[in-house]
Amino acid sequence: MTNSFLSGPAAAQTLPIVVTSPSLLDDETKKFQLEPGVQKIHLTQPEKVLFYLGIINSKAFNAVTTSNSGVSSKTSGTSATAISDTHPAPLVTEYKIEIHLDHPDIDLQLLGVYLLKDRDHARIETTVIHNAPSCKSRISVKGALEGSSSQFYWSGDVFIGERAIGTDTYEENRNLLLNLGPKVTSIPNLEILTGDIIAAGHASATGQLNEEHIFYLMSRGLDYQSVRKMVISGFLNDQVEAIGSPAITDKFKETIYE
Amino acid sequence: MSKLEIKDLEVEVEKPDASRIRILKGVTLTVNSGEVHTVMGPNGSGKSTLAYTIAGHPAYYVTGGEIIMDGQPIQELKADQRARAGLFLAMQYPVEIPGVSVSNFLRSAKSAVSGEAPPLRQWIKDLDQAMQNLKIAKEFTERPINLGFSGGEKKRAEILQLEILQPKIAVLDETDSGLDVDALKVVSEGVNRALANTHLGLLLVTHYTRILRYIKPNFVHVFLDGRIVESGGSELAERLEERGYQDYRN
Repeated sequence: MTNSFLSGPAAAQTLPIVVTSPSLLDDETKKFQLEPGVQKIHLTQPEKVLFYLGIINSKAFNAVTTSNSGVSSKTSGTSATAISDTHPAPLVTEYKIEIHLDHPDIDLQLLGVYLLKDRDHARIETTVIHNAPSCKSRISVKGALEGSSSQFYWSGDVFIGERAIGTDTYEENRNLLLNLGPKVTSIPNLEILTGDIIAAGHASATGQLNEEHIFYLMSRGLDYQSVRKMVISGFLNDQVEAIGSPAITDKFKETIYE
Repeated sequence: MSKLEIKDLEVEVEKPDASRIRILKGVTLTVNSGEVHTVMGPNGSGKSTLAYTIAGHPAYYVTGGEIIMDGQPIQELKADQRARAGLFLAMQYPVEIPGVSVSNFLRSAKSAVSGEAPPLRQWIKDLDQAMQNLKIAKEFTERPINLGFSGGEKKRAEILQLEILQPKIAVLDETDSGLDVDALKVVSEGVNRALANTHLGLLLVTHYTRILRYIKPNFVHVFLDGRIVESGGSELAERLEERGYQDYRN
């Protein structure tokens, strides 16, 4: 079981492979932005590391998009050029991230945030492998989708090997569907080969805007568009702040508010 | 002077099986600036339905009658438009909204109802004063709306909004329920300040008379089975305190 898990995704060959080797310089958290593609990372020092990614289609997230019927008939038809004549090209992106915790006492955070619209597709596969004792991992991917047929896929594998006693791990995926077009697939998975751990948990939730939140804020005089922006950014603010990347923060705000 | 007129209001709500049930069966009531009206009735009589319908909650369907604010029918307006016309609803169960800070929300709401962003220095001063009056801690404004607030804090936060947004007519939906004596006093003082400072018209929905020790009503309406069955002055509340609703049951 261990071998098959470590052999990596079979479809990886078609994507560029990037290997990131963080170095240990001080006690602070090391931060790395992950690029799309396959990333296979071995952590071999007792350090605090934050890997993050942001998938944001920055073109007017809150703008009124083409009607559902128009777009879906085109996509089920043939011509892709016909679509790009009238719409900006959809964002299609894929991440396969595999992180090995090969040394005791590593503290890993893996955080992702996304905003998808129109016909954007994003896929994130995270695999975190606890090979050594007393490591901590937190994996969290959060985002919101709107548009005619945007899609988001997340699978999160956490593997706790036989030697990884004292592991503390939690992974979560939270998605906000802003209309009826988008689709989300969310697959958390946990494999535990030792019972001697601190904690291992996972969570996945996909929901819509809460009507009572909307009513409450509107009853104070705020119009629907402002309220919607407020609630979406409220849903994702913590994640964006935890990532703490000025580039992602700026793009996020710009996308929600402009 | 402002005037909220409710005329022969009939309201239905949707049940989980999508069929509708009639809750309000012809309610008529007029609230003028400076007046305090109390609607009292047992659980399930439709008091909260009245409150939510006035505020424009989309789950309540007006099937008859009218809601008129300062001469304009408002029952077709959305909740935000009604708020900008001068209505306010203090909710019985204020919702928790993650990630949206009280300060951000309040300033946006104030800008929306007054039509312009309040000057920053004045805003900070006003907000500080209003929070002090309601014994609300300063750090409160940086917390997400109602998230992790105690029952008493939520109600004080509603009255904070009432004082800050300065509506013309306010509906308080069981603001007194779940409050201990001290909190009830603080909340009542806030309401009385709003009455004194802004000539607010008030519709106080409750099923206890104890809040009426602190907020003196001009009119008391007994609400039963979707209708006002009797109206009177504060002596009516005293009778209800003694006898309950038994006189209306048969």
